Amino acid sequence: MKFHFEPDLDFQQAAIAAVCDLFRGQEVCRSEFTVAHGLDEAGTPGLEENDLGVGNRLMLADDGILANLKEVQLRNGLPPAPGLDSRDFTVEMETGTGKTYVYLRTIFELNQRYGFTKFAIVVPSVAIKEGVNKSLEMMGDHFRALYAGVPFDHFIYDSAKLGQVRNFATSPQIQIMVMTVGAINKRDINTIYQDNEKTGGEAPIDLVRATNPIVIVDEPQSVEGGLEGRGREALKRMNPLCTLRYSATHKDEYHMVYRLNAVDAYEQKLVKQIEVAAGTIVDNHNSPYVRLISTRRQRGAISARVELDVATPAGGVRRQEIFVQDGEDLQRRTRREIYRDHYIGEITVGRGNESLELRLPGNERWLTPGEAYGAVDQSDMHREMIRKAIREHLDKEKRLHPQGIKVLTLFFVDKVANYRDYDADGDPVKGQFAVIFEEEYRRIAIHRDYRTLFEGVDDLGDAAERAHEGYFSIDRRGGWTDTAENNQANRDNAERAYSLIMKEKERLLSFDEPLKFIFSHSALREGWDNPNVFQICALRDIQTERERRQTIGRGLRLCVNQDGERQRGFEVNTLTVIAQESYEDFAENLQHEIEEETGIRFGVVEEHQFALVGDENGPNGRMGVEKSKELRRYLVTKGYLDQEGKVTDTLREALHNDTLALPDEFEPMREAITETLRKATGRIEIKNAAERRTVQPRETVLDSEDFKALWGRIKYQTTYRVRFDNDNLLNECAEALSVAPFIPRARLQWNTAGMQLEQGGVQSRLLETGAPVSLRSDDVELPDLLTELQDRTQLTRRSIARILSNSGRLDDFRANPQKFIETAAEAINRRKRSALVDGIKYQRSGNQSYYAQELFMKEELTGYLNKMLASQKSVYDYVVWDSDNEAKFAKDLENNTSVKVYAKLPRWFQVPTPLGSYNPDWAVLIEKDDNNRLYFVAETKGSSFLDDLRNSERAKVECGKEHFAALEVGESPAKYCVVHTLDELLVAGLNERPTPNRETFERLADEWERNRPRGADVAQMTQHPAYQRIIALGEPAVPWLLQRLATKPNHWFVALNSITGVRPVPPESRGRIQEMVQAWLDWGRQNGYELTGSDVD
Amino acid sequence: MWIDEELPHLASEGYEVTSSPTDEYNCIAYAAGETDRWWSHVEDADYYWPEHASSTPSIASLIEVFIGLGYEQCENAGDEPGFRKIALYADQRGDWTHAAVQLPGGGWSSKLGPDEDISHHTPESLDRTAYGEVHCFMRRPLAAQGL
Repeated sequence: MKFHFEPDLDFQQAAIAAVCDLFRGQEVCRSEFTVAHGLDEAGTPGLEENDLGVGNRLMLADDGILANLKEVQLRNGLPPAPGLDSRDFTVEMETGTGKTYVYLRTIFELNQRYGFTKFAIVVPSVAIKEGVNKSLEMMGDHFRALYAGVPFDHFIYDSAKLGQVRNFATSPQIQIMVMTVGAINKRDINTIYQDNEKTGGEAPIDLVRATNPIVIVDEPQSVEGGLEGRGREALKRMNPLCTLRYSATHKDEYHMVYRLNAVDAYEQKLVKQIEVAAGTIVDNHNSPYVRLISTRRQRGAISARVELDVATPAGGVRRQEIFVQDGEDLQRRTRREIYRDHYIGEITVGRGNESLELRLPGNERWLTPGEAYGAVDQSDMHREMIRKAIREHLDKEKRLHPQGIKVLTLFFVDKVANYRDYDADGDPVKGQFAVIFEEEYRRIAIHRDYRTLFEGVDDLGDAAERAHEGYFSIDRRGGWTDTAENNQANRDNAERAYSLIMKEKERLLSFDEPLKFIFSHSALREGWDNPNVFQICALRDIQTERERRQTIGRGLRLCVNQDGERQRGFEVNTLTVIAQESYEDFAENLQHEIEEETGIRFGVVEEHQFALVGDENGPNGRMGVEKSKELRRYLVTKGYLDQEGKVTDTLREALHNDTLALPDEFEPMREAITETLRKATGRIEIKNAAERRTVQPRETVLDSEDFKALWGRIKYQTTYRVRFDNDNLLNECAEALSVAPFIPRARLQWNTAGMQLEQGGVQSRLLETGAPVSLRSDDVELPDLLTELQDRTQLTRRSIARILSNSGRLDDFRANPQKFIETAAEAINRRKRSALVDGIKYQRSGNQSYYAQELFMKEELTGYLNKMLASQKSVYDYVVWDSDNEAKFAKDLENNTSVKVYAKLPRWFQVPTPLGSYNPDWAVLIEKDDNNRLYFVAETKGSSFLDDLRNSERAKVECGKEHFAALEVGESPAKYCVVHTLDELLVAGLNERPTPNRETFERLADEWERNRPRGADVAQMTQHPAYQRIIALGEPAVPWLLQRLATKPNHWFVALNSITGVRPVPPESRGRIQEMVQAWLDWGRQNGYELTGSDVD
Repeated sequence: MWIDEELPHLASEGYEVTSSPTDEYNCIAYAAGETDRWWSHVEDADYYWPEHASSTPSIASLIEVFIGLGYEQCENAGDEPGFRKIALYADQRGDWTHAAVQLPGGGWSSKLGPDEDISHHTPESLDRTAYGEVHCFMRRPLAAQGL
C-alpha cells in the first residue's frame, strides 16, 4: 500500500507560504566555497586539488525580511513583530495535522523560489528522527512529481559516516540532513566538532557552517535544552541562514508566522475527535483505601495530599482528596471504623523523592505518588480495560472495514515482561497481558455482535495469536527489553524498535496483515505515528494518568483507506481512549495539560483574537491586529472581559440576551465578533444576579380584615407527640429490608464520553453508559454490622439483629458490606420515619405561641424576576414561585373572583415534624356566592395524589394535615388540602360536586382518554383528575359509562366499581378486557340501564 | 408516532414496533408470558393479580409476583444462556411502573401500557420516562417456561 499525499490542503499551503514569503524579494542565488580533499583510499593525503562547496546565500536585507514578516503575520492574524531580533521563525501546528509534510515541502518550495539547497533538520529524539526519515522515503515521489523531478538527497547524520557531510557541502542538489540534537549539543564529545580526516581534516561542523544551512527544528522546546540552552547554542554554531521551528507546543515563540492550535485543528476537523471510555470503580468501599497524590512542604510544614474513602453526612461514602500530616489517625479523618489502626507515618518531599509511609496494623507500607493501598487488584482492572479496548475495536471494525479502513489498537505497557517474558532457556513466553488478550479476544469473538467479523475463521486461537504483536526495544541479541534512553546501548535498542515501527507502518494498514492490536512500551510512545490507530489503552501498574495529551497525540491523525487515501469527517475519525478515571476528570485534566503545554488559555480572549475577522476597510480585508487590540481594550473597559482577557458574567449575559454593545465602527462586523466571543465563552450557565430583587409587603392586604381573619386561623404553633408499636415497626423494617434493591458487588462502570475542544474549554458529553462489570471481593474484612447500623438508626442491637435475621438478606452483606450497611440503614430509617408519622398527635402550644403578622414586614423576601408574578391579592407585591405548577396556581388565585386574599407562605412559617420542619405553600381565603367565607392552607404539588409525593415529603404532608387539624377550633376553621389546581381546591373545600350532566361527562371522558398516563398501572391511569371527577359525578354517570364501554371499551371498570360498589366480573374473567366489558354490560341490562346509545346526544 | 415525541431517548436509541396497540394485556402480563389478560393490583376492579402476591403498588409486590412465577433476582441485564430475564421498573417512591423482557440473543421487548409492543436495545432505553427506572433484574431458567 502506498500513501497518497494531498498537495492542496488550505491550512498546509498557508503554513508553507508563511515561511516562503519571508524571503520575498530574494534572488535565486548561492555561494561557493572551497572544500579540501580527504585522505585517499591508500591513506595518503591527496593533491591540493580542492572541491567546490555550494551553500545558501541570503541577499535580502533584514529590513526586507521584517517587512515580509509583518505582512505574513497580519495575513495570519498574529501580532506583528516590532523588529527582527534574529532570523528565528516559528510555525505552530497541532500534532497530527501534517507538520512534517509542511516543513519538508517548504524545503522544495524554498528551493524552487530562491534556489536554497542546504537544509538540516534537527530533532529531539531517535523516534522523531526515524519518523522524519520514513516520511522522506514515503514522500519522495510525491515531491518529485510536484517539483518537476528535482533531484535531492537525504540522509541521517551518522558520526561514523562523515563522508555524507562532505557530500552535503559539495553537492549542488537539494541536501537534507536529519540529525538528533544529541549529535551536536555536547561540544567536547560530539564528533561533529572534531577535526576529521574523512572531511578533509576539517571538523564536520565547519563544512556545515560554510553551507549557511536553513535549519529546521522539529519540537524546538525539546531541542533547545532548557535553561542551560545547550541545544540552542548548538543550533547557532551551525551558522544557519535562518531557523524554522515547528511544533504544537512552543515555549519560546520567536517570530510566529503561522498558528494552527489544538482548538483550531479540532474545529476544522483536521484531527480525529476524541472519545473517552472511562472505567471507574463503583461501590467499592469495603477495605481501607489510601492513594498518595503528592507531597509538599509549605511554610516549614510537610503534608501529603491523599485520596481516602470518607464517610459523608448522608450516610454514604465518597472518595475524597485530603491533606494529611505525619501521625494522623485515618479512622478519625474518614470517620470510618474500617480504617481502625491505620496511621500516616513519615512523609518525604522533593522531586523524585516524594513518598508516604502508611502505618498499618502489624506492618507498614510506603507509597509513591500515584500508588494506592487497598485499591482494586490491578490485574482485574487490566483485564477489563483490555476487554473494553477489544470491544471498541471490533465495533469500529464492523463499521469501517466495509469502507476499506483498517482499524488498529495501541496498548502501552510499562514493562516488556507484562507482554512477553523469557524462560530459563531464554525462550520467549507470553506475559500476562498477552494471555489475557488472547483469552478475551477468543471470548468476544464468539459473541453474536461480532459473528460477521469472524465468518470463515476456523481456529479462533490462531486468529487471537495473530491479531496482536509487540513493538519493544530490541537488544543486540534480538531479545526484547525495557526501553530507557539513558545510555548509548539502550538508545540503540530503542532505535531498532523505532525503525521497525516506521518500516511496518504501511504493512499494518493493509487488510492482508492480520495484526491489528499492538503492544508497545510507554517510553516508545512518541515513535508511534500511524493514522489508523483508533483505540489507545495505557495499561499501567499504578493509577497515574498523566500525559493524556501526549497519549492522545498518537491517534489524532486522520485515517487512510486501503488505497492510502486520507479519510475525512468525525463520523469515521473517532479516537477512543480507554482510561481509568471519570470522563469529567479526564476532560478537566486534558484542559489543564493543553493550557500548560501549549499556552492556549481557555475562556480568554487574546489581543489578536479578532484579527482575522472580515473588515472591508482593513488591510487584506481583515480587521488586523491593531484594530483587534482596540476592540479588546473596549471590551475590557466595558467589563465584558477582565484585565487578563478572561470572559466575565457581564459578557455571558450580554451574549445570552443579545445586548452586546459595540462601538459604531465595529457594528458591521457584529456577527463575526459575537461568534468569536461565543466560542471563548463556552457553555457556562448564566446566573443572572442582576435580576434578583426584594419583594415588598403590601400593607393594604396585610391590614385588611380578610387577611387578619385568615391569619388568625392558621398562625398558631403546635407541639407533637408520637406513639408507635415497637413490634410492628421491627416487622415492617424487616420486610422493607427484604425487598430492598439488589445489593451489587463492587463493580467497574464504563462510561463513554465525547470530548469537545472549544475556545471556552474542553467539554465532555456523556454518550453511553455500559452495563457494570462485577469485581471480585473475596478477601474483604467484614465490619461490625450491628455497631454500624446502631450508629445509623439509633435502634438497639437486639432490634437490629431481629430485623436482619427476619429480612433474609444477610448473605448480601458479604457481597458488599458497605453497600449493604447503607441500604439497610436507609430501609430501616424510612420505615422509622413512616412509623413516627403514623402515630403523630399535634397539640396547640397555647395562645401566646404563634407567628406574628408583623413578620411579613420584618423578614425580607427576595426572588429572581423570571420566577415572580405581579400580584394584587397577595400579601406581597410579587409572588415568588418555585415550579411551573405554583406559577399557574398563583395566576389562578389572582384571576378567580372568589379568592379574596392569599399568601404564599414564607420560609419562616414552619410546622415542626419528626422529619424536620415543614413549610406549607399557600394560605387562601375564598368567599362563596352566599357570602360564606372559607379558609384554606393548601399544598400544591405536580400531582394531586399523596401517593405521588416522595416518601419523606408525603410524611411531612401527613404531619401538616395533623397540625392544622389541631388548630381546627372555633367557627369555620382553616382546612388543609393537598391539591394540584385551584379548581380542585374549590371543589374539595366547598365540598361541591361537579354538576352531573352528559356534556360534562363526555368532556371529562375525552380529556382522560387523551391525557391519561401511558404507563401500565391502572391505579395511576385512574388517578388522573378527569377520571376522578367522573367518579365524583356519581350514579348519574353509570349509564354514560356503560354506553362508553359498549362503544369504545376502555378502563372504566374502576369508575363503575367505585360508583356502584358491585363486582359483576366472575373470577375467571378477571383481567380479560372483553369479558369484563361483557360482564358490566350484562349487569347494566339486568339493572335497567339503557345501553343502546339511543340517548346519546 | 407518539413514541418519537414522548420517548425521545428511546427514539434516538432505536426501537421497533412489533404489534398493534391493544388494551387486551399490559407489560406485566407480557413479561409473565400472557397476552390475553391485564394484570393489576388494583383491588375491587376485577383485574388479574396472582393470589400469591400482595396487592399493593409497591415494587415489592411485583417482585413477589415474579418470585411466585419461579424468578429470582439477579445482578444485571447481561445475556445468560439458559435463562429468561426480565427487568422491573419503579418510580422514585418505589411503586412499580413497568416490566420488560429479554429476547433470545440479548435484545429487549416491552408492551407499552395500553399501546404497542416494541423491541428495544437495552432495558435502560425506557429509563427515566413515564415508565420509571429499572429497579431490578430477575431471571428464571428456561426449563421452567410456562406458568
